[in-house]
Amino acid sequence: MAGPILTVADLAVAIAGRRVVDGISFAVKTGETLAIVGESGCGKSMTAFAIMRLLPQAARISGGAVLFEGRDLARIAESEMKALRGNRISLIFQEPASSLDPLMTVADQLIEAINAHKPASHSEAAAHALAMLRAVGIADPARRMRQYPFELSGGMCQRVMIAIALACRPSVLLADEPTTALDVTIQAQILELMKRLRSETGTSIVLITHDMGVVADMADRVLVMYAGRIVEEAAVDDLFQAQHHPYTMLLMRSVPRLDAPPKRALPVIEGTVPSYAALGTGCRFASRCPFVSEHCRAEEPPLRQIAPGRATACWHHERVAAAGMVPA
Amino acid sequence: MTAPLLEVQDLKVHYPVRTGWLSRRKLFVRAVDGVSFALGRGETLGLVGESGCGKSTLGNAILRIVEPTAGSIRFKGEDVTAVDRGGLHRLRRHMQMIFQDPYSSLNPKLPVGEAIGEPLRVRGLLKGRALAERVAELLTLVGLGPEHRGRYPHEFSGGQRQRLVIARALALSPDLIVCDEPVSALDVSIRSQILNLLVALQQRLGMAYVFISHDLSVIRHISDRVVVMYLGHVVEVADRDVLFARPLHPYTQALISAIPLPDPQAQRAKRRIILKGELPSPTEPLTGCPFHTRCPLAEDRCRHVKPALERKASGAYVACHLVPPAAAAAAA
Repeated sequence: MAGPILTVADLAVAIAGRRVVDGISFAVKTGETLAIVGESGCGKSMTAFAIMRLLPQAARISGGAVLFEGRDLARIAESEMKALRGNRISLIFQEPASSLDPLMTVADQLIEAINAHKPASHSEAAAHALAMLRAVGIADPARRMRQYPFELSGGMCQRVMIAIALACRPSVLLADEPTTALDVTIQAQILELMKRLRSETGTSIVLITHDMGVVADMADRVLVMYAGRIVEEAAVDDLFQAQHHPYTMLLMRSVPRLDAPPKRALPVIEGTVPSYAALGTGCRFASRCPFVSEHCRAEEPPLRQIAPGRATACWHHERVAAAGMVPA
Repeated sequence: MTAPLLEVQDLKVHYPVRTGWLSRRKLFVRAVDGVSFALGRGETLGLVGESGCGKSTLGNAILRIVEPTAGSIRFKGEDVTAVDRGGLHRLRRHMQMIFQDPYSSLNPKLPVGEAIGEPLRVRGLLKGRALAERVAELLTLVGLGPEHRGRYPHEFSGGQRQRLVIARALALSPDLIVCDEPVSALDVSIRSQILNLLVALQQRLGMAYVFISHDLSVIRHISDRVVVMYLGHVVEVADRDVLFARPLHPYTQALISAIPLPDPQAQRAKRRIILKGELPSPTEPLTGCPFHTRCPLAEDRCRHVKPALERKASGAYVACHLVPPAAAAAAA
């Protein structure tokens, strides 16, 4: 596979002096789907917003670099970023209905996105818009072009969002929980669509999700985040086969599965995520970890490579992986 | 065979929809359109379907939070739809509800101990020291402690608030709790704690659950029997193991196949049924099977004749023309 298209190096995002994304690094290869997994507040969405330079007002990039097509997105001028955003690198959100402009027709929103980067005559842009709607599988696209977002279902809004995001053929698509608000049968349609578009256009996807099923379905590689840090990184098959971080292991096991005995007590992760104000010197997962030792409380484990393409931030990763081999 | 705790017969809930002021035509959303099922004591009935299928309306109708348009709901032998206000107040002592959002289910200005004790106080069942003891007992039962009673909802996390809501629902020792998406708003690691709590409480206290969820993995985990709804109609009812081992209705099959498995190899190998199209508008009067517009197998009769819910060989009840009934399957 070719070199990375997007490289995030030691990225940090601070809100009121607290580092909610705390020095994370990763690279996305061309045509690859990288999943970022974690629970609310782990910093996965903030990472995407930081890459796109769309952070909420209170948050700012406090360190690190985002290297994309020879530029550092963390440092370039807003005007330069504007030329890239939606053009070379796009973002789709969880709430498709609130991401579209309620006062503009589908056609106008698509044409606006196309004209922002690739100015064309109205008829050319309209033809491109129509082709995009067809590409994302919207039935009767000519009629949908004239409609407003409120006339569309949630699944259709998300297809329109994807059409807008991909209209200029970006090389990277960031998708922040793109199917979380949708029903499962619609989710299946959208995931299938994203796979097809990826193979047709070679777009790299950074997929942010909390759903291990979606990860298994879509990802080539996975990053697991906890409290602002990457705690584990692996190729998708390797990660599901053995987890080298206790958080990953418990996250996977605490979900009811279609192939597990019903009603039995599910493994739980005791306690709650520590607040960013209360972070001490040790491992951030220590207070909830069944493998915790004195070492963990005293010193935070760095993310270390343990095999090619595989890294974990746990002092006891071998013991964790061995425990994972025993069925729960 | 003892009488079921809850028996719902041909229940309909239609909401009128306002149309233009010149229009004479009255439109109705047929949120629940002829649903029947029964629930035994201590049993968990899972109610599953996608948004707009009517599962929440059905849950609300059981407690008469919304008024049913037609049909009957027999709870402990009495028809919930026929009793007067006093009768309803009396029946509701034995049936409680838990909602999806624990943030909006608790009064932010009320200490949680008072919120949990409120049902007992309002009904004049307990007061003073006995009430305080019962509140302490309820807090312990849901995995919190008596020391939490003086705190306010904002001091608790989402998972803890859902525990408080459960404690309040348990206050009157109900026979039935309708749980409407009780874990959907919670993070994965908290979800398993609440599911474990609900299972453990049922084993200990023996109440029945109507458990409403869009998540089939959760439904399979907690239910004894499962009702699959689509557009206000029941399309399949079966015991959990039967339903998941051999789903018969094409919609149930699509729903189960659509869940991404947390196992990359199994997921790659799986054949997925991708449904075409979207749900039809619930205000449009429907002819034929409610699923025919998206069904990959639909035939001509499916567009014209509504299939009845019939018993099939596996013991499941299925509303589909294409699944042979029990007798025919046995003969074949």
